[in-house]
Amino acid sequence: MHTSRRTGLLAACASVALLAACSSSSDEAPSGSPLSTAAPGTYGTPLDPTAPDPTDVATDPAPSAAPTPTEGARGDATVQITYYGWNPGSSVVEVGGFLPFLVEEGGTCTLTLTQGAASATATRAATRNVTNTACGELVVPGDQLAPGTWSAVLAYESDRSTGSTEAVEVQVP
Amino acid sequence: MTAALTRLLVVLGLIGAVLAVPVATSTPAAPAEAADTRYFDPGNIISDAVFFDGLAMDAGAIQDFLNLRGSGCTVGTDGSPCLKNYRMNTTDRAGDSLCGGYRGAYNESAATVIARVAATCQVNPRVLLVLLQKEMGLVTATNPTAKKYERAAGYACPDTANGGCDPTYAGLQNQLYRSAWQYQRYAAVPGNYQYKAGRNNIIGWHPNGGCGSSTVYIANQATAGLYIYTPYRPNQAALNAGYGTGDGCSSYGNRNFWNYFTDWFGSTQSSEGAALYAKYQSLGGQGGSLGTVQSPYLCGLANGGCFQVFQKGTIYWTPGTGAWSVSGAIQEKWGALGREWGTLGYPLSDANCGLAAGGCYQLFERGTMYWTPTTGASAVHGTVGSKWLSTGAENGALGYPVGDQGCGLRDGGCYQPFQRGLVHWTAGTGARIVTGEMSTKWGALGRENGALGYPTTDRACGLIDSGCYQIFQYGTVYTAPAAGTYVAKGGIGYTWMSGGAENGPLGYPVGDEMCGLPGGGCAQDFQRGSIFWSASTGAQVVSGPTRDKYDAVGRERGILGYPTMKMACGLVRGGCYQVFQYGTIYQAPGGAYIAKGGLGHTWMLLGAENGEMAYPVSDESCGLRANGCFQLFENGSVYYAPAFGAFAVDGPIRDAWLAAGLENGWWGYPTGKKQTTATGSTQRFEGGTATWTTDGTVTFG
Repeated sequence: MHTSRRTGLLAACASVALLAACSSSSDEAPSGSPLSTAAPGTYGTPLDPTAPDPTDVATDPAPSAAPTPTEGARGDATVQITYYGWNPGSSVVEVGGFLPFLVEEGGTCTLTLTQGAASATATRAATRNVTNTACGELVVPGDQLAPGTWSAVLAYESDRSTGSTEAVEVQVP
Repeated sequence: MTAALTRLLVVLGLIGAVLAVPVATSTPAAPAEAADTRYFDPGNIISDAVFFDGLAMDAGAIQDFLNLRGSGCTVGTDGSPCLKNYRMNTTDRAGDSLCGGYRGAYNESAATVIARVAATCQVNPRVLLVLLQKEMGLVTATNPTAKKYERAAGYACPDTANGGCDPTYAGLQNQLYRSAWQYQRYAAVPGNYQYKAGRNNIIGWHPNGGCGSSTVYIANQATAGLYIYTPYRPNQAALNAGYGTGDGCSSYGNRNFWNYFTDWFGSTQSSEGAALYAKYQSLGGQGGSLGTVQSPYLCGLANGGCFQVFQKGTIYWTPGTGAWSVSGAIQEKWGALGREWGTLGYPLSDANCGLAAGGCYQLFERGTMYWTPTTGASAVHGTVGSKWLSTGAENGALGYPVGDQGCGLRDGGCYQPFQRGLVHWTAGTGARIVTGEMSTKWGALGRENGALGYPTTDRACGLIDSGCYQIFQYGTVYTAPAAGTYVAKGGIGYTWMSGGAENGPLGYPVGDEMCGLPGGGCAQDFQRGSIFWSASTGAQVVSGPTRDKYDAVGRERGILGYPTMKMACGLVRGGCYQVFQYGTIYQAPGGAYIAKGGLGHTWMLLGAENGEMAYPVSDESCGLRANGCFQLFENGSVYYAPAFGAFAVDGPIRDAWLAAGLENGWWGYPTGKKQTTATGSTQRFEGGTATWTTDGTVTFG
């Protein structure tokens, strides 16, 4: 059990292509802190206000800064869709997304919906966030979309970076 | 070098840096017990109400907290002070729609900075404390460093040209202010960001895309904000590890946030806070009717109640009543009435305006408050309030309340004044309305303590000549435009009513009963007559020309005393009479005149109106010579002097006596009755005897 856990963690650390939390100490002593089995009490009244603080806390690594692209070339940016689908209340296709490893100003996000030869797009200026860049919500009105399955791709473009997601399927009723 | 290669090298370099810096210490102290992460809800890490409870702790409470959590800290190895001892000169920040700005100050403590940022940005200071801990461990640090303070809240710093953190981002104040501002920004423009409350979102477990993602329904903005700031969901291994390390796909930021918050400050959820927060938001938040927050959620009120104070009002909540705001004059009055412990109990609605005259009302557990600019705020409740509502409330006869209900009146009575009248209540008489002339009259008579006592009916109208009446415990008030407003009560009232009241011969009262008359009597005037009462004579009606006569001679104080019977009619030629204590008034076609005393007695012996003298045509007139008196009748006169007695004089003898100068002439007073003789009649006078013969001559000698 212990061995396999350690093996798995080392494998993750070795194979990780991006940032990972690989805490050296907890790997050696996977005890961490014992877990309480009590409900959290009520707001403003902790179960034990004088309980000692933990001394062995795993934390995330500091977020990355944007890579500096080569002069004249645009870097590949990872774009992720965070939600998508048909909103029956407003009769639109909504897609949300962001760029988890990029922090920059001035980019534009474009949502492209395609169904056979038909397509519809929406664009929105990206928003620089503290540790990432948000596309926010892109919306295509339902009256531009025939019922059926549409393919949605979210793309990002700026002077320095470009990238797009895999397609996801959206059902338009 | 290609862009892709450049990027890979950068990434590998970052990984190396991460691995080189241990992110968890392993000092084998007594391990703390972590919160039970089975209660970690990825869709609701913290409620909006708790997250945005900006005044949850003041600087003093924060300082106490820092002293407790930082008890093991003395000073950093680089000389940096512990957070509990940290002080800084803060700088000005202009307010905007998200935070209220910050006026810089000299030598502020960390606790003060935390409290002020929390208050001005309306983000819970407990959230800021957790942020300082989960990012840099500053709260519990035993070796604080300048580097930790520089990026205290983990808010990313743009690098300056020399590689340092941009000074407008660096340091405790900037880091806290920017972080708190950022969370408010997420809430203000959620469409700009990648996670959205109220729907399913796809959230990765770890920056490594290979770790996959899960779908999370994010229940609220605070949780969405945490994910926007730290876009990873802790996996089960991370949760199982408490504060410790999970597996290669574990992320910790949001887990540690929840763990620290729960261990330090209890649940991240608050039903009462949620209720207060939701109400505040529904009223427009700080741009709405209540203005800015002035207190945290405060609980411990009756029935598990809580409240929160705002610039222009307060929201009260209990599990049973829900959350409602009170403000302005209504709040002031509610406070004066004892708030939730008082007459009205907790609010059951907000103030609803748009009533007549710019009025507003607000429902409470045990009553309703009404307010207008001119009447102020007053509460209506109980039976009195129900009565008012039954009249059409503010649109009815009474208008708005102008005061609160008062109790403690006689017989446990209560009352309330309204714009156009009163409502009075006792258990025995019920709740009754007194308005207009009724109110004026009743008030003048001393209300419930006066002659009438409490009302036992409301006013009823539709009487003759547009009259109205209202019954009280001890009398009835009648009002009519032509008569005025007066009371009918007691024996006089009974007599009046027996005679048909306002429909009877007397019509409406035109005055109240006057008592304290001679002999303990009372009297009351009506449109067409009066009623006089005394203990010995009872209540008797005097009306028409008889009353005019009675008035003219001074009524009960005059020569007649009280009436002892009602007027009797059916006399000859339509005549009537009414007996008084000291005389009788005869009312005949020739007028109403008094018969009394010796003159009257003499007249009656002569057959009164049926006798030869017929009806009187004058009252007794005295002041004659030798204290004499006389009275004229239709067919003669009766004269009286104490020395001679009373005698009638009529016919030719009277004419001759008149010609001779009456009692002042040489005949003098009559001293005997007229005697009929074979040839006429004779009558003796002081100076001789008058003799009338049927041939028409009168001689005296």
